[in-house]
Amino acid sequence: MVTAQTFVGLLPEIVVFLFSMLVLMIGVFSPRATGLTAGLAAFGALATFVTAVVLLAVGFEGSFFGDAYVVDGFALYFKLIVAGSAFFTVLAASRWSGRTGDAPEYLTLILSVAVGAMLLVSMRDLFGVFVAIELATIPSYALVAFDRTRRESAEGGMKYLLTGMIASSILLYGIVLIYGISGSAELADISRTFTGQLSPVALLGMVLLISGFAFKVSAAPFHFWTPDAYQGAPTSAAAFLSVAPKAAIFAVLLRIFLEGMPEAAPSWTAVAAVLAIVTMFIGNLFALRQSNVRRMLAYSSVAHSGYILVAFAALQGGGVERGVQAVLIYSAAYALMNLGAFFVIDLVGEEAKSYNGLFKTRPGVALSMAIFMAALVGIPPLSGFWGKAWIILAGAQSGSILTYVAVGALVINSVLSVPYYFGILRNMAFEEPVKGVEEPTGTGAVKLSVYILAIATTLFLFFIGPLSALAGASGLL
Amino acid sequence: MTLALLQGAAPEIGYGTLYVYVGLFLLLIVGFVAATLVIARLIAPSRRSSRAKGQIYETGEVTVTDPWRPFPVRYYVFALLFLIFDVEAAFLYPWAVIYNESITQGMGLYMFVEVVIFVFILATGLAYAWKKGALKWV
Repeated sequence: MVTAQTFVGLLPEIVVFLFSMLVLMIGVFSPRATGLTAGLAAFGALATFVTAVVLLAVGFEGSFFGDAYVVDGFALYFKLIVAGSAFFTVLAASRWSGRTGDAPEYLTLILSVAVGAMLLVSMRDLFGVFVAIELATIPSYALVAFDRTRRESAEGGMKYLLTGMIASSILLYGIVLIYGISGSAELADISRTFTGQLSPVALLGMVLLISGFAFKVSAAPFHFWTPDAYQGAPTSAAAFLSVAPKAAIFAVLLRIFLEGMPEAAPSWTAVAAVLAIVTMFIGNLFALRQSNVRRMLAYSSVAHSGYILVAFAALQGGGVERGVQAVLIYSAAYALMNLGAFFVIDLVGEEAKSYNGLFKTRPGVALSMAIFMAALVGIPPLSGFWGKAWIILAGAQSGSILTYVAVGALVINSVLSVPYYFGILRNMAFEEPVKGVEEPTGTGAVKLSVYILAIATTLFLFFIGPLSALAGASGLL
Repeated sequence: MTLALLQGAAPEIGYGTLYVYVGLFLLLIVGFVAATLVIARLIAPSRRSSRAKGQIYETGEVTVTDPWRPFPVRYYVFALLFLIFDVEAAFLYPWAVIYNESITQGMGLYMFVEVVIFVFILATGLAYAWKKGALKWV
């Protein structure tokens, strides 16, 4: 039965949804007011963030719509990540989208992806999961193809659309098989099917489900759309898509695994470990060869999906609690550093040459980029280190040999990733500036978000205490 | 056994055996595709590539213009607009069928408000398209 509680539980989604409609309507009925629409969109994302913070602070918890939709600490935590990255993306996209002449549409699409991702992390029913994933993905096809002045944008959008549809159908097939064998799509009922010896159909359903999710989080060997889509997409869209929907999809995968198939853990941790190892190596080895920073960051996001999958492989034995914490902490850390690194592209350019001598010409931007690159490698006090440390701790407690191998691969890959991240640093510090390679497109608001994100990445050390406490009390365990 | 299946004696066959048929069918598919590819490779005259072969396939003709160009999407816009009404009808009809029943269960107001929200969202889409001039034939 629907009560006032339901509306409180849905409040963050309702807020962001209303603002997305408002932005679209104001944008179309008074097309001159680009500043107003951008401001409203940013305010909407911020209001959503605040709503989620309040719900988290008062300890709101509940299960709605026949247990198909749940609001708990875990879901609210990921809603914070989605709303926060939506806020920074809108801020960074305001000027660029204003110049395309279609600013309200662009901002509405960003907020729509946010609605889908925020609904997704609360879903406890596989069909709800599918609908929410589509709600987050369909606007993102349009976001990737939004830059009409560049051919790569349309190309990336087309590739993303085709592979995304295949991924969705594979995912749906897996869901239907699981539904067929358990007679229900609710995670609580599914957990009763996934016990003891798994039937072939259950196993096939699980493998298809994982494959569909692997497509969506761009895990190898399902990663091939990522570089083209992210290179073609407008920078703010690439930044947002590599962070918010991805974090939400990892979150819901974690919920499906832990609530829907806890007793099949040996099977899915093994699949996750193999996927993680392949993904990390492919992401890093291909990133090494890139001279385009945007493409390099796309491959780096593939590698980072692999790192998070190691945390999934560690969800067994004594590593379950640490593993969940690792996913939560890594998602927040990755959101900060990756958004920042992508926004710097808007300020400087996408060719590696554009970064030459940046420490001399624009020290502030160069220092921020240096912080993001070091954080992506995992240099100690910065955000990326804490995510990796938690994953390694979780893996060490898992007691499975395959997970130990995956953790070893993570360490090797962290070393492998040093050359391409630090190549940018070397260009910024030691090369002579090259004039006129590219015109920077970003301005004030982008610079502001880059600085804020750089500071947050540096001071992540101080968030780690509250974050891990929050993760411990997230309600998933 | 196949004959028995055809004669309607299926219940005698165990559930597991049916997977064997599926497996055999899969093998047949894979075998057919593989055989086709292998035969095509064996009897194809030449595999050397040339400039003419690298061109964009245009039903056997030489391409005359750049394929990257805008093309009219008038009908596409109307198809997209039709989708609004299509989805509306597809959802409203089952809603209308069970609405009476829900009134007797005391859920009438809830159902009504829910569908109003749904129609409002679709109407927003229509208003957007209208204002953007999508209903005009250009």
